Amino acid sequence: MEHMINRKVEDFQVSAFAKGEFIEVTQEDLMGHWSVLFFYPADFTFVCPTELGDLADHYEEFQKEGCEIYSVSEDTHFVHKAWADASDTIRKIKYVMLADPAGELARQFGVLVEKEGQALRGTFILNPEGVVKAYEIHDMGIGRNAQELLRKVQAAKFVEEHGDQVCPAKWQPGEETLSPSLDLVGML
Amino acid sequence: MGMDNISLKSSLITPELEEQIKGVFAKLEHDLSLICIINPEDSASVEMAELVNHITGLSEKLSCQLYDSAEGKEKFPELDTTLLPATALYRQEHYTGISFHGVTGGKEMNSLIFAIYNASGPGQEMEKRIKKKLDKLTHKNEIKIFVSLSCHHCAQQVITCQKMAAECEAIEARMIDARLYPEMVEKYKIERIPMTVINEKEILLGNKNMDEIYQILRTYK
Repeated sequence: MEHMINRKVEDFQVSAFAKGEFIEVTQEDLMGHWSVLFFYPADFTFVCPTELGDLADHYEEFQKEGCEIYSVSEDTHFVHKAWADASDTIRKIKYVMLADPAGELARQFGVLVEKEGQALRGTFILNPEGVVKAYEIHDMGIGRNAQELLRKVQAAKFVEEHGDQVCPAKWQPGEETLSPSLDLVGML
Repeated sequence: MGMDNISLKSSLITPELEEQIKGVFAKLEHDLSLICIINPEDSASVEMAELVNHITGLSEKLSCQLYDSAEGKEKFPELDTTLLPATALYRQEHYTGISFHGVTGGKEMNSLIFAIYNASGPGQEMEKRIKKKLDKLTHKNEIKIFVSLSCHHCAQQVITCQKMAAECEAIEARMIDARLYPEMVEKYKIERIPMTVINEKEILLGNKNMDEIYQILRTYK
């Protein structure tokens, strides 16, 4: 299977539920800012509201990074609304919830389980040109962490702005000195 | 531990590594002193002192002088003795502008070996056009390169800056292992390395070539 890195999002048009309203979203809406497409299997399940709520709690931090979040499931926008009406966790969501009942988006990103009509838990980070820069795909029951996703968005942005000639630093005082390694090839 | 009890051998230098280093040091041209200022009670200081003892024992062109912080501060006012261990390269009792704060283990062993090679000669080749540019610098420039010992990009940045220091009296290039100095991490908000701070004002992230570094240095008159 071919990977998704550096693949540009293809044309799509789906309905969505956002801040109590029904809207249309196309690939054009993903341009000009960083985006996260956050696939999950279905509304009205138990793991999903936990991670969607986690994402809602961190939404402001994503926005500070200039990143929009789009959750995606294979439900209709009407089901998204019904779920928001029924769940306090979902009602607090301010990001856009895309409805993909025809599987158009899930198929494009390779996360559709055809015989179940549900999406795997796939997370895709797209740059302002709509190009995938990082992604992860979990099996149905394995949840994700919004804080870790935020770190990945920040890292993707950093690399785009500064190139890849840096290492992230996680300072841990008290570690032992590393054994030396010499690499003199071609430098003398 | 007292200054006299510091071993002449370092457990960081394996026999294989020793042979590699000897191969480079066989080419050295001029005498070089490694001044190592330490706190004898601090384990990182002792580790670096042993490393410098061991390394300088691999070539007749090299010598090692160990000092405690009080004596080092008095004898070498040009060095920053607030970040120990501090190791500096001197050619004919003249500071080359090349120094290291921390233990040059991990990838930074490359930086130390290249610094010695570049300061003693023959050194890595430098493009003539770059050398000409560096010769025009008059303002004293201080470059700090914050590193981590496991960062493969960091050593390259240190080697580049210290090569410039070896070729130009107006440049001082100091490697600083940020892990050892949390106050530096806090002061400069270091989250990614290599992070290069020029004259306490300009900050560069990642590897930069000599042209890019020169473009900043030339703005200081």
